Amino acid sequence: MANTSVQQLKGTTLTPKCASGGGDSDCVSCTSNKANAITPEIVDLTDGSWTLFDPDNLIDTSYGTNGATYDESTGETVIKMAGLAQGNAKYMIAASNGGHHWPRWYRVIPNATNLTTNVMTTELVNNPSVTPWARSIALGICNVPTNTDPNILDGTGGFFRHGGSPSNATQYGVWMLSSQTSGSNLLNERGEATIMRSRDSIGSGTYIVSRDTGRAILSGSRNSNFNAGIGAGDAVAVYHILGIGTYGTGGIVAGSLVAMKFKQTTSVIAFGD
Amino acid sequence: MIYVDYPRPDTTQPQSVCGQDTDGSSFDTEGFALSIVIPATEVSALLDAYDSTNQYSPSATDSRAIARIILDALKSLTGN
Repeated sequence: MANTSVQQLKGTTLTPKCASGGGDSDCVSCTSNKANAITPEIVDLTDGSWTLFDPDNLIDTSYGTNGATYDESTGETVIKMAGLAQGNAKYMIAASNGGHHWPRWYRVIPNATNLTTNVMTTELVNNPSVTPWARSIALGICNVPTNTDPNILDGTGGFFRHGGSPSNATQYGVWMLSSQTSGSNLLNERGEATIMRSRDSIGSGTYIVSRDTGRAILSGSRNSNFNAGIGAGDAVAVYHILGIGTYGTGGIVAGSLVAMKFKQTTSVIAFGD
Repeated sequence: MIYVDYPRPDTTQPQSVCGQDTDGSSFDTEGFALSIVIPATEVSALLDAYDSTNQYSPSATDSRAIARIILDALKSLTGN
């Protein structure tokens, strides 16, 4: 399989194989390469691999496929909200009060568990031409996507949020459990983040935010030092998660849209003994 | 001696941070994140000398030393 096909994979298992160190260009079966050129997957929530979990029905599932559309020509995803009359901290991705009741799509990551080394890099690109609302978005890895307890959901990944006014700066960074650290700037165009989840730790995350010139404006990180707590138990599957929440405790006007391009690549690395 | 793990100046811009304070309360603010490093060998002495129920604790000496480290770092980060 050529590198250009890697974008089709939901999770890529990198297994050391070629003792000579020569490697090859196949990032699936043999990866003793010094580096692997990877084309990221452009996330398509309508491709049949994703399941929507929306405990309080905030997504308008009459729109598109389960509330989302995907434009193959641009790679953009549009999500339509059903509305929320009364906001609550439980709909904020980066808050712990009341748990995590915000809607999210999820899918299992092939070959990945809480004990394998899973490195995920994301790029989030907001479409500023769509009417903004006070929203937050996360794309990452989690343990139990259908649980509303932040410390059981155990999520971390790339993060975006916007205050809802055109004059507000966009923020891109990293999300961890029920907290976030991000860079805020009116010139922000896109945010890249990398998180490492390995050996029952949810790891820590780093981010770089760049502007339309393609050059970085901000960078930062968020440490976790948090272990999933599964401890000596059996390895469990881990999942990709894409969540939509509110910025603060405000509501959501029915019909509000999220229009973003989501890219990701996930490496499941078998370091062995 | 307490240290601030000081990042390179060109990376020190305010960040947006949502988190939980040590008392469990949530906060959401734009600010400078400083990494404070307290040598493990000094933790016991610092905590033994600190009484959280006493409004005059910690001592002026400890307070000033800790405050100066933080304020010096902030001064350097902001260029003021």
